[in-house]
Amino acid sequence: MNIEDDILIERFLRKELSKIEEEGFIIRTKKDSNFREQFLLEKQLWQTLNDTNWSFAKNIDHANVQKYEGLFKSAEAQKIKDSIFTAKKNYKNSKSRKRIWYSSIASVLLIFSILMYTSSNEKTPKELYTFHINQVSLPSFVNRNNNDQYKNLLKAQALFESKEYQKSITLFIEELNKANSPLRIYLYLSIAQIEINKFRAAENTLNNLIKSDYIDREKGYWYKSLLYLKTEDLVSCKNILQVIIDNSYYNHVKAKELLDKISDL
Amino acid sequence: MKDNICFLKALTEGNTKLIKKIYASNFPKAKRFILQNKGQLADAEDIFQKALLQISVRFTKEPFTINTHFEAYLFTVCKNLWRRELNKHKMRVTNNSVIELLSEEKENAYAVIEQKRQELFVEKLNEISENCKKILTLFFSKTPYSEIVTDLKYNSETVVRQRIFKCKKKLTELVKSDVRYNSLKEL
Repeated sequence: MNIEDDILIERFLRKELSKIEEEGFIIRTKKDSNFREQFLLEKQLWQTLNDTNWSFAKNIDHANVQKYEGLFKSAEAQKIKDSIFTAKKNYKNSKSRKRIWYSSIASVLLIFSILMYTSSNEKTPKELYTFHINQVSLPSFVNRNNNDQYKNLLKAQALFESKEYQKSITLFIEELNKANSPLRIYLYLSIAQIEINKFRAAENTLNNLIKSDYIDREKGYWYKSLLYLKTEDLVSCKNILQVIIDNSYYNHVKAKELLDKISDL
Repeated sequence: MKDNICFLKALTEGNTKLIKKIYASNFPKAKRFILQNKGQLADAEDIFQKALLQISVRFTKEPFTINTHFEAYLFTVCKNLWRRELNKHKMRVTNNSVIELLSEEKENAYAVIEQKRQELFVEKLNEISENCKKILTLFFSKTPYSEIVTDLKYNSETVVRQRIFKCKKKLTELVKSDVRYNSLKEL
């Protein structure tokens, strides 16, 4: 096996060969048994050692398949199957008994918390802001391969979590330009800016997020509504909430509840 | 690892009380994984049942050792069966040719062979050097060469290619020299 053949096999597996190259490749796998053996092994490795593909067994030792098929057909296997089925039924029954018990408790708690919630002091925009910002849960940064960039981001995240927002902002801004996918940075940065009342900067950050083409860009609308809530710009807040509701964006149910609340203010 | 034998025996002996315990401590995790990966509750139940059956039937006839915790092994089998199912669906959608419908027992037989093949490959991948393992893991995850250069601090894509070639050679030699591969390989 030489590196040229290795590259050729890899290009075939990555579907990078032209039609003519591909035809030549297939002919070679039929004529050259060593090349075919190498290709098949590499294909199996290629399809097995990752999380998305799967290497199906197709043309393998027939006796081996028959052996396992026979095992699954045996009376012994049927007995095992029955036991698994019974255990599953018992598990589901006990779970639904528990569920009835827990849902009774949950209903009581729900009524209690609704009463608490409605009678609580979440009436002013700032209090509503505090209530919603406390519910925010941002995705963590994960350091892969001890990457320096992630080290800085983890540091920035730690500063954010310990409410040292100004320091975290400095680090997030430094990393923003280097990042290939800055979505999470935008989220952390905008909230940190809102928290220390850098409203104009937060608005810019969120506008950049909304203008981007990330799937999660719609989260930008929700945080923008919280920004306007904190600044008590209720007209802008209502407009943004309406956009979220109309487009069924992220947190649109919460947006509806919030809109109802601030409409009474 | 004492629990591993205990759970395996419970499965093969049909101890419903212990199998129920296996369900209680492992099904929620498998269910979460399947629901997060395009599956429904019914898929999760089916896959979990198939995984338990696969492990039991295999252990009945050819007792094997699980070198990790039973929970982790069971989750891997569930994950693989679900990957298999998703890829089968993808093939049905993208492949215009007729795909042969197999009996449940034959499908299960193929799934065992594929599981054994994956275990062999992972075992051999763990036997090569740490550096080779790292670079091949990235390669097989379809990471672009440019990213491998940056992540592992190589000088160029050419160096990475040569390194991957050498590591792959080592890995394929190890796989081919293992007697188990003969009954698992594609012909």
